[in-house]
Amino acid sequence: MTAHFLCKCFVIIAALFATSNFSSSAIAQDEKEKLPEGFVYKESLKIPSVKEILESTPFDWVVMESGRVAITSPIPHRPFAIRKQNDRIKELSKKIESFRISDPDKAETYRQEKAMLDFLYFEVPAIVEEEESVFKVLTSKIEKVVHFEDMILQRIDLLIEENDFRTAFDLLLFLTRKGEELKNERKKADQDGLLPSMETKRNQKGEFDLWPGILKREYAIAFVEAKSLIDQNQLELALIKLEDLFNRQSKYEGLDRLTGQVADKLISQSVSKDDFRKARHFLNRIKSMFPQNKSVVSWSKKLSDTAVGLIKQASQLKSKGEPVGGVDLLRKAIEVWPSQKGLENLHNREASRNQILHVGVLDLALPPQHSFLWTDAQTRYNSLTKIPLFQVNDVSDGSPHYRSRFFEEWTPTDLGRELTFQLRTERQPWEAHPLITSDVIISQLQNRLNPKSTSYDERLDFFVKGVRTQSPSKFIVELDYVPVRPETLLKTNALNPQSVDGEDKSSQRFPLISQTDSEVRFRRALAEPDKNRDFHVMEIREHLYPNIKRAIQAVNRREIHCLPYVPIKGISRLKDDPKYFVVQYSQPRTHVIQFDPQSPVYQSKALRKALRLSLDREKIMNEVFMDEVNSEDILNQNGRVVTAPYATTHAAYNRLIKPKEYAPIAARALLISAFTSREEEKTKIEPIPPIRLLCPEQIEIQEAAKKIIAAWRLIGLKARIVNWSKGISEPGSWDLVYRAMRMNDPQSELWPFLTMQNRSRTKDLDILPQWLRVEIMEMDSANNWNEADKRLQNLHSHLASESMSVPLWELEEYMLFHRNVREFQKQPLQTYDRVDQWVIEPMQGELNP
Amino acid sequence: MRTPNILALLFSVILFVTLNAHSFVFGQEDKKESVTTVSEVIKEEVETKPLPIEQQAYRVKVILNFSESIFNTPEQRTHVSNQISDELRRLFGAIWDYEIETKLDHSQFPALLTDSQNQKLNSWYQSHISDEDTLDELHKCFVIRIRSDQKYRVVSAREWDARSQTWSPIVNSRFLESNWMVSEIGKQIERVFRPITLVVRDRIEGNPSSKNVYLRLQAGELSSPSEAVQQLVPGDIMSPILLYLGRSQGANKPREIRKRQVIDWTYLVVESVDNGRVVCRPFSTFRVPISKPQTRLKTMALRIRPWHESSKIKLVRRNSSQGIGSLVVRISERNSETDKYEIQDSLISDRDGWIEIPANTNHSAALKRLNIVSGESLIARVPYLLGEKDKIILQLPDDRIRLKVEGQLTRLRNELTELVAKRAVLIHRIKTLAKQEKWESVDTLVKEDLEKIPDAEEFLIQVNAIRVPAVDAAKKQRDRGAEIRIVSLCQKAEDLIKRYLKDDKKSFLLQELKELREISENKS
Repeated sequence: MTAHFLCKCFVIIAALFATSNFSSSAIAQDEKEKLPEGFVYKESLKIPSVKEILESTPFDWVVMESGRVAITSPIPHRPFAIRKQNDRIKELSKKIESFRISDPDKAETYRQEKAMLDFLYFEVPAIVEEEESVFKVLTSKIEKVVHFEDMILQRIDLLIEENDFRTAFDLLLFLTRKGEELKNERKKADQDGLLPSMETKRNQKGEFDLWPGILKREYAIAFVEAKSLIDQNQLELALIKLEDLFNRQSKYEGLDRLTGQVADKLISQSVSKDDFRKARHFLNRIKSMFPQNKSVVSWSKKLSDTAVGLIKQASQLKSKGEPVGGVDLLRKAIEVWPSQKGLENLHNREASRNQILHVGVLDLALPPQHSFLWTDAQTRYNSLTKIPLFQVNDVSDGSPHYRSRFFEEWTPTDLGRELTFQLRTERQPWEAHPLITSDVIISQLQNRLNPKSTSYDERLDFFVKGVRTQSPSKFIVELDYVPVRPETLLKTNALNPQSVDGEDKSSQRFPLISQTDSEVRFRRALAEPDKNRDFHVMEIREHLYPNIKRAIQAVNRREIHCLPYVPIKGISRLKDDPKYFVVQYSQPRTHVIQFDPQSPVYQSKALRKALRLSLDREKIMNEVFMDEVNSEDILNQNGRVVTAPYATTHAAYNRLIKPKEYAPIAARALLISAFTSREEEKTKIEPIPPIRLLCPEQIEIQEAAKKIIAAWRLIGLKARIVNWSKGISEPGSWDLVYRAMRMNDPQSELWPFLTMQNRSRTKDLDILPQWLRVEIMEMDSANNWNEADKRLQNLHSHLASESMSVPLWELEEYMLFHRNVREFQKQPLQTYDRVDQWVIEPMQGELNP
Repeated sequence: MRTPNILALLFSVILFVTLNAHSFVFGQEDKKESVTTVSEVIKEEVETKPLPIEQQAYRVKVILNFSESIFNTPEQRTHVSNQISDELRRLFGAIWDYEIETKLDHSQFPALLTDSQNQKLNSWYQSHISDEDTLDELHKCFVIRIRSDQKYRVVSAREWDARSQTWSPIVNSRFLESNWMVSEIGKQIERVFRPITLVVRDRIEGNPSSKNVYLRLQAGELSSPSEAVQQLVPGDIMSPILLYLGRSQGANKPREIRKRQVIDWTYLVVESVDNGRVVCRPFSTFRVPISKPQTRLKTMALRIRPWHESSKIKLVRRNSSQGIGSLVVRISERNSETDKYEIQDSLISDRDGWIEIPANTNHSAALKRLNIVSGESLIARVPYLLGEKDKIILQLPDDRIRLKVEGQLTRLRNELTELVAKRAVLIHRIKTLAKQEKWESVDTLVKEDLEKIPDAEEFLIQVNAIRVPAVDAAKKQRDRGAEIRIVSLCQKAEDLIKRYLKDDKKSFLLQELKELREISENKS
């Protein structure tokens, strides 16, 4: 077979040799002659186009010294076929020489093999006849072999020159895939120690050059792409490309210069946006590549100088008596250049003295716009700025227990007909509010007992007969009736605007000092004296975030110390994270839909029942609020369907009342009955008007509200969501309201809740049937706690029967703290529970993660 | 200053004889007509009989009290006193037989004219007036205090009526010009003056359908020099007072008044006044508010006015001082054209049972009817002149038992509503499945759901369980009204249950299912 093949080739080779011996002039004459199929002149060679590369069968060019080029099938042993042959010839020559005397037969064998290696065998596919398509040419007459892969690389070079790096990259990918075939060969060669001889390169990552020149093109493409991204002002992407290139070839020509260029732009952009953290981030990235880069050196100096300037300003502010401003500047200086010598110690010292609590919120704490429809943010505002004489301290046993910031003791005398209040005469150094005297409280009480005053409190008037002052720190309240919890009578604000010399002292704890679209600041009304050994929160700042993910990210970045609300979804992950404290509120938040008493929806009991029966509350709650992965939620640990507007943990919650089953068809029947009228013994179904649901703007609540509306649609009731701020400002613009609230003391809070007012007044009860009104009023005439709870349980059952509201579910809520916050409540009743006792420890490298 | 009106006396005697009228002398028994000559009659009557009430002038005492800063000298005080006397004569003329007295008791008067506690006033009256003037001789006493308040003068006045032993409310007038003082005093006296009438007939004899009451007005036949002063005009409102008299103490001697009793929640609205004869329409919570005059039981009436800007009414349970909160009070007014009451406003009592109703200055319009509603039932209906008193207590029947029943029945009705809706849906589902011949599902629904739905009997038992103890409790309290209302409420609930939870529906359904099943089996 081999002999036959060699015999056939021989004729062709002879002819080729003959042509190869022509003189140059003769060649010029012969150029006009037509070459056989599959052969071209060197001058007419063109690098194949992208299309040709991708669509044609791979071929090689064997360029002969004569200037003719054979278009061949891919030459085996690529890419260094001739070199390999030459290497083998050298090796064989040595062997022939060594065996010439000792083993002439073996030497002859080697000689024959060497003789074979003098030729390069190839096939020209253009020649149809198989027997004539194979050629052999003396390797010494071959100028070079241009492989198909080389042609691709040349095309890539051209594309790079044209800045078409995307096509270039596609071709490179194409070539890389082809090169994969050689990969195993390379690996084997590498193992055999042959790779260096094959001139295959490795880069810094240890990658093989699948084809000589591939890596080089890859670098070139990355470099060009980075340039292009810079032109498009996509600097961060450009930096990523450059970093990648650096990792592969740190000494790539121009890389240092281009990186410096990107650094300049990126850092200056960040600095102009006052985002020094980001600026430092870029600086560090570039510094890790080229520590001596001019831009790196220059920006390091600039930032360091800025930090020094800020430290000086902070010192000046402190001397001017504005230490909190000084801490801000030091914090800023740390943000700018944390490695400034002595800065961290200075910051920590000042920050410990003037502690600022940064809180991440989705809704800023601002004054309520409505008398009773308060969002959680507005409740936070009130808890910071108002000081109730009494507030609920503990509900762990199911009953509210009150504490007072102002009273030393309050003692019932004369069988409870009188209450003697002893005011505190000394305040703790950490307390943020001032002490008050009897006259302030008496003045306020008189105001609340005056029926003509806007502050008139009918409930207080009912119980209180008179008030006597005994001393600036002692007064007596005479009672007509003895309330179960006398504290509830005085749980209003200790100070109100009318009470003190016309001066607005309503904010005496942490008054609001500044407000922007993205931040509100509250500062301690009374600063802690310098002589104190321990200091507490001086200022509270709420920062607005668009969603909870960003807020949690901010906690991770140590921008904020706490999150007042963390959704149940994902809480288990945060609980497991050692960086944080996750604290559960002592009471769950109850979600309930209430009816506007003035709305026609409220007037129809059948419609109210229909709205309730049409909701699959368990399903909606689980879908919207619960984490499916968390097994706790499955066991209703974090949320449960309820039948009352207060917590199931309360002693007054009647556990015998079971939630109504989801019954959409019965709901539909009730809905139709609500709109059915009879005229002259003819039944007429009136058109069902759409109802409007006022809903807070919290994302999860909005989602739940949408599902509720969808459920109502199923029974044929159209509904739409009313924007919260619009609904608050326009009375009568809504029929129902979605409320998420905590009722700590239902005995005193249920009445205002039912009448949708901020206080309990009998005339507001006219929306209820008489027998229910009597039951509500009788809550106040209970003789003891047990009786009060029993009456509430009874009322709970009756309110559920009357469908006065649609209690949905209650959800456990959590707060998230950084580990550097201390002394907070382990089971808080509200977000800023005893916030004036919280301590924030400066963390090592607080702003330099 | 007392001036006996001889002419009026003679005139009345003549009138008496000629018209053969009864004598309605207060505290005097009616006498039989004497058959003698006119001159004898005149002589006898003048000697023995007091004048009829409409011819009797009011015997009045006006006590003036000046504050220390005003009219320090006796001369000044006498001068002012004379001026006031002239003014009263100009205003009341023959109607009043009056005297004016000046007292310098500075410590008592301020309290007197600010304190509304009648008890204190009565004791003051006993100690200051009764010593000098017996009750028989004096009809009215006016206490006037004049004081200065910075550059203003202030006149305070109130009236004491000796027969009813009641004080009028205090009226105050404040003015700048001191020349106005005398006329202001006259105006205030006219304001607080409460004319007296005596009931003579409760209705026209022989006309039982007539509801009017007939009265005689004291000094009604006497005329006032001033046109502005009219004792009574149509539309005026009077408050009746029962006088329980003692036994006769001899001829021509007035009977002793042993007891006085204001007839609460009863008003007489003047319809016409003619020469001392007054026709009134009674408005009362009682069916027969004014009884026929008897020998020892007389009814007098005093004109009243809405003195106060508003009236506070406390609604309390009978025999208890504890107020009833959250009761609905519907205020209605009579439409004179239709003679029907139209509801004008609705109020709700506070926790202590108080309601406050603003008064209307128009007298007759101020007379309202208060309908007190508890739950679904009306528990009281009383007339009231708004502004007559600043505070008043209205006793009401204890309605707690009935109200509790109402609540229990409402809850039962709620359950019934849901049950009926569910049952309707269930029946519909069963019928649909039966049409689809899914008999297994039909059987399951019938057995597990339909059969478990409580029937009317169960609800009726519950109604019974509500009714029996409630009726017993009402009986124990001897509250027949509550008992009737409870039975009525329960009856209505039973009717409702029987109407909506008819067993027929269930049996019809089962019959229908049976037939459908048979058809289906025959087909197969």
